[in-house]
Amino acid sequence: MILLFPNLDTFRLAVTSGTVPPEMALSPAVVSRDDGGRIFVETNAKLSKKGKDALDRLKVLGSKRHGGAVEKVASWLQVLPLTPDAGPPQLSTQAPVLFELSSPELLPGLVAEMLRLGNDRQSYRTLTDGDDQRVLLRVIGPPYYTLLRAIDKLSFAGGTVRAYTEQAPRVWVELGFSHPFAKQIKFDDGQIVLIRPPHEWAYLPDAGYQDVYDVLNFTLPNAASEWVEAPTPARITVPLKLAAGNATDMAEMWVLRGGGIAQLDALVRDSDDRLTEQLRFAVGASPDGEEVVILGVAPSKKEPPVMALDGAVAFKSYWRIPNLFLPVGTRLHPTVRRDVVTKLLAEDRDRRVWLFPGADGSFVPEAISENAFRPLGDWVEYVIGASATDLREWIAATEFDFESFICTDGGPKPKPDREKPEREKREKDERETPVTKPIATKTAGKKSTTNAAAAVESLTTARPPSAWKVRCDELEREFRDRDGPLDSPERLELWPQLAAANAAMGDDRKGEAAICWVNALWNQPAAGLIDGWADCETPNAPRTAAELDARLAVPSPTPSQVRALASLFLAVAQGTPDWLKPRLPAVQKFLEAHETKLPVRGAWLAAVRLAQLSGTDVLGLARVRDRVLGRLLERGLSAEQDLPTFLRFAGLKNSERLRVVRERMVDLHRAARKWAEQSLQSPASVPTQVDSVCTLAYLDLMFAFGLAKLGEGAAARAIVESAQKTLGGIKTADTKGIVANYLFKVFRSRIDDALADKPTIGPLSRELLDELEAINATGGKAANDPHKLAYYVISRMRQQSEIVDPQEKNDPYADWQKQDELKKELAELPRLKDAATLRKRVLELFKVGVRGQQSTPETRFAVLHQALPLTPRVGQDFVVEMLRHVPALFQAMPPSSPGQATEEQAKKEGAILERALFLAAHYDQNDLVQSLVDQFIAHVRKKPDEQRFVLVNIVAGRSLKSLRKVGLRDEVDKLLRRMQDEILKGKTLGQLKAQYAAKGDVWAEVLQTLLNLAAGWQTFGLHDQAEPILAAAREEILTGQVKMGAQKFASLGRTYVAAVGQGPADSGMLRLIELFQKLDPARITNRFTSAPYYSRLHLNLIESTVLAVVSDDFALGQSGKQWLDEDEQLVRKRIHRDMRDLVKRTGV
Amino acid sequence: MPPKSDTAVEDLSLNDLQAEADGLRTRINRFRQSLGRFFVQKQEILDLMVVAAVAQEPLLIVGPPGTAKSDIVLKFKDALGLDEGDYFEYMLTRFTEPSEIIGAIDIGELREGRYIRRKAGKLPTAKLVFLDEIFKSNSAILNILLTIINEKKFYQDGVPEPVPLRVLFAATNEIPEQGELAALKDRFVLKVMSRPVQDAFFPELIDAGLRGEAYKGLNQKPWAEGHCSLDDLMKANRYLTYLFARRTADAKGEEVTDRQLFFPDDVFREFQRLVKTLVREDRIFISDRKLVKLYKLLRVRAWLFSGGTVSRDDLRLLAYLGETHQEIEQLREKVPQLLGDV
Repeated sequence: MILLFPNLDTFRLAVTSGTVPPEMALSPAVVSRDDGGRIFVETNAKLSKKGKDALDRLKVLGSKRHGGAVEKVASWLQVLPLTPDAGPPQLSTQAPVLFELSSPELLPGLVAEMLRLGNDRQSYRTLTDGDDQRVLLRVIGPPYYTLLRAIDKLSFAGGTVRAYTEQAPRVWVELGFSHPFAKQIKFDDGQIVLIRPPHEWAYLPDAGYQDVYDVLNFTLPNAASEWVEAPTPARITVPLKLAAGNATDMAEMWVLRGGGIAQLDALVRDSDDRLTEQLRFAVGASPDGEEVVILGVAPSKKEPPVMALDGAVAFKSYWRIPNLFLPVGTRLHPTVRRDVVTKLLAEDRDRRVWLFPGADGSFVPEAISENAFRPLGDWVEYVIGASATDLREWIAATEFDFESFICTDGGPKPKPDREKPEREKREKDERETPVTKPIATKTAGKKSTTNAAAAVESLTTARPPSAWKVRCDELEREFRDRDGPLDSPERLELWPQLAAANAAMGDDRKGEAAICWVNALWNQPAAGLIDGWADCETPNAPRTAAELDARLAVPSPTPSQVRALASLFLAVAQGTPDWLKPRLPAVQKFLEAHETKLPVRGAWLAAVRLAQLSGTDVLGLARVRDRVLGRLLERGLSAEQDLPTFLRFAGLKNSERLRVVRERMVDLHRAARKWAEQSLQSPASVPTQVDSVCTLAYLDLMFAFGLAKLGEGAAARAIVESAQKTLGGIKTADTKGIVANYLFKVFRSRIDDALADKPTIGPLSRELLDELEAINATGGKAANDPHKLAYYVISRMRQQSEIVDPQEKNDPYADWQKQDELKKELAELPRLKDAATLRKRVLELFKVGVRGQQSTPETRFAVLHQALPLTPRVGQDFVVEMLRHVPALFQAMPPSSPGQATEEQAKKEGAILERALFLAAHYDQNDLVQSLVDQFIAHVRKKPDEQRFVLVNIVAGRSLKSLRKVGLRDEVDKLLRRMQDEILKGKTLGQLKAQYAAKGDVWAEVLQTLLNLAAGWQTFGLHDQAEPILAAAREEILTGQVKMGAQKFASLGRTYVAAVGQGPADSGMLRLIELFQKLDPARITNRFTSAPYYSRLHLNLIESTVLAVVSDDFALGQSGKQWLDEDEQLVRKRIHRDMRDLVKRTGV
Repeated sequence: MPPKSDTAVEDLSLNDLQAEADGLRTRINRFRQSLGRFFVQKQEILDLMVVAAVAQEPLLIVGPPGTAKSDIVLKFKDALGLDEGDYFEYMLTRFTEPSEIIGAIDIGELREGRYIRRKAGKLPTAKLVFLDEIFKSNSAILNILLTIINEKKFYQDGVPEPVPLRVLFAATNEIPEQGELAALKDRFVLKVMSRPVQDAFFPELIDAGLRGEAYKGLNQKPWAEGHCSLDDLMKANRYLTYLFARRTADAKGEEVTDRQLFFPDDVFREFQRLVKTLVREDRIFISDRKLVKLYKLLRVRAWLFSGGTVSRDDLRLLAYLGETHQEIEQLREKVPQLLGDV
């Protein structure tokens, strides 16, 4: 049967529409064409009646003969010509391309060309058809240039080269063309088909290809020459000498020869015990019998002390090798690698080596076992310990108050008693108003009495310190091993015993004991426990008015003195003697002034007792509550002040974790600085006006802050000094100088606070704020005045940096937007110092709006955005009042269409919700937290995809952390789950990438959302769940091809480091170091108005890294941080409960 | 130096120039090669300067400080024997004011109500201009420069005046990425990197540097050898412009364009392939305007270096299309690779 198709279009229609059944279309046929373009197809297949009718309708006729030269085809599809592609070829770098070479002679040239252009993924096979030889060269991702040459067939001398792409398995179509039914072509296995235009098909056997390296013959430029090994020359001897080094090194070890013991004795007698606590010593004998005393600094975060010892040689550790010391102000010459020095001089870690200097730079390595060192404090205690038994008995003997003269006989030489006249006066007062020290009151419950008695009894039980240490270790282990929350009864009953055990170990455990005592008292304020604490803090101090007065009179008390006063007050207040009431104001004033030196619990217990004694002073207690909550808001519980050491470092031996973090912090600084230097110099990265010198100085200061937080005082100070030289050298007459000078002061103040263990997350100090205002005032109203510009640049840094100003994020453009009355008013709010004025102004703006304008939802939104972070300055009531407006305001805001709702608006909404969530949780407004979480999720649902991620990233990033911090771990869990459902909608990582990878910036937001989820999971210890997300983000940041804006990329980087910061420290630090080692310097650029003064995005990333490292999660570890969070939650709950009880009782 | 002809270059016909073309070419090449002797490894830049000068296209020299960027332009100017009035150079900063470049306002004229600048000795009267640190200029200067480069015009009291500017060289340490500079950047078709040579040519650098210092001290200019003048460069430009515009007939009597005559098919296809490859694989941005100018530059180079027909060797000019430091370095390797040099 021969079918006659009137033209190609009819043929195509018949085949594609199924009019010709597929089995027929795929069967062999004989085809011919006539001059009129008609197509004759002869087939053996049978056509049904229905099929014939359908073909009739298409005017397909039957024919008795062919119209021209016949051609056998394997299927009808072969009749269809290839269609040329519209655009240039688009192939991936992994796409295989088959080059058909008309002659084997073309092969070397083509292979060499592609090798030259960097492609060696080539394999080939040679085919013969009689005399005709062809080569098929298979190349993965060939160079574009070669592809273009193949398309331009004339470019190969001596033959033609065609390129084919595989459009369906084993179907290779010439490059630049497509076959409409490539996927439908069926043919035998073991064959491939090459299709050339217009419809030339070649079936070839499918066989393996040979690697092109098998036929490559690389020629060397010259003949290889064989070298013969010669005898190695004798080893070169290089004498090591001491040469002049850094003269400002601080000594860490001193070697005393000749009369060393006597000098040590004199030192101990004349020194403050804080100095002796810092020192360790060893006594050795040289081979010739000379006695040598080696005095060293104990490992500590404090700076080594400055010592003036006659004839002592001072040493400093060399290159941080822990057991090698060089004389101060010297170094080894020539400089040798650290590992070589270690191997040569200090290979045995158990021996401490010092290079004792001789003449002309020579030295003698001297060494002593590390085991020979012992704390100097211990040695002093050992000498005094001869009369330890007597001392203990005396403490327990309450009836002896006049024994001071007894100890003057024998024992060590007493120090001059400067307090004698005062004490005599106190003793006189005491005789006039005697108070008996109670042991246990009847009001205490049975269990409390038992615990209290046990605690007090334990103080009087004579045990050697080592036995107490063993007992203490047992109790700590028991505490950690018990299940349940921190306030479970099983754990609570251990606090008194822990307190007693720590107290019995001596003065150096007093702080630890105090934390345990206040924890014990927190749950059961039994008299025995109060006495136990007071006895521990003020051993043998009489509980008299004179004693209290004397302690109140100390002008600037140490934390230990404040604890002593608080414990003494609580102890005295049990009996409520008459003389106490008139002294309550003084006690209140003292505690108010110094309560930050007390553990939070201690401060609150004392305040509650004060309120009770002064006739249920609700207002007074409310003030303390605001202060304590403010303290928790600003700094949270302090790991050092509120958490006992054994919980702080739970799960780790000693401070191993901190040590790891500190050591690697230096490496991280180095890597980050190197990256920043390259990035700032990279022409592709940063425009020329960026001041890389200042940027690098600020980077260093950020690391100095981190080091200070980790207790590396010396390193932090060294960086500050260096930065001062850099930044201080800039002329202060222009903007750059003003900015550098001011920001240096801010950083230094933050670093000083960190070193002094003061809160570093509060607002800027009053002096610094005044200075900033002065800069602004000097600038006047001229927009281009250097001072005015400097004010803007500094404000921009305040807005960006969490270290510089973590609290107040004011609008730096506020002064440039004077035309808007509302914005002008809002810009003034942070400058209002007085709480009452601030409250009044905020309420006015919120309710009435600015003069001449009505308050609209938009106005109220703007006011809330600016004022909410400032409300804690006024107090809890005002915070709650403003928070109550948030849900209503969000409902009242007119719904914005996707076009209108800008990313900026989403950011502001996110900022309000984030702050509101945190403040509601902090001020115990759980109902509000619930409603805000619901509102947040509902709000997210309303947003278009792109803004949804922006909103989530702003709210989730900080809220997850703050909710967890205030103890709402269940809320965090819920929020995580809901976010996961709402945002990800069950999609996998791969699916999300496929959906968003085309829009780089959106993909960055998506990844950030995922990282926030991962960070949340990490806080619950679900590291395995978080790992794929971290790995995907890492890959995107380090090697990703998705194009995204520099700002989005920097945000992604910041979220990544923050998420890493929530995980384990050891692997996390390596990840952070890797980030800076491998991050392409050109990825972060800087195009902001602050660019001539610092590069904002660089500093953003660095700051996030530093903050991630010094976060409690990282430095304390997961368990330590969890204890702290749980503890803070308990404290907060108790404060709110006490306050509610008092209000209820008094009916205020 | 050849005697100055009385006829202005603009008035010379193709026939006049045709007679002189070979001589011009020889003189310009001698100038190019001779000047190279006074530098260490700067022949590449000098060649491009000559090509750019003949094509009357601006050239940007990029490089760190102290890599002879300014020196090379100064000696080029001296070697052409240019009158001081025909040359203008200036180092731009953010604070440079338009009056420093195009002349201050004439107060006398202003009193008469006319806004006229005193342009003598400034850019509007110069034939050869060198602008150092060009990308540091502010937007007011940028606008003026764009008008002058694009339209060869300068506005006096709102009335356009033609400027005689023929050759513009600019130098910069950095190539900024700001969008507002993109327009100016695109005007520089060729950008060449001036690299430090101390690593590979230490002794040569010291010797040449000392010689240069001595010449300066003695106020000598041995490079001003008078091989060719700015007029020669302008004549060469005029001659080639005639050729570009010319339509000739081939043996069959069919019209043949300059491209068909001087750009062999295989080289032209190679040119296309290279451009497509650079755009696709290396993401080099080549605007349509740049492509046309590039064609002109290729023809100039071919005429200058080999007498006429464009060869594969001339396609090396593509290595100077990079827009950023990274692209410049990338193309420096890639173009020779594609051309099969390495």
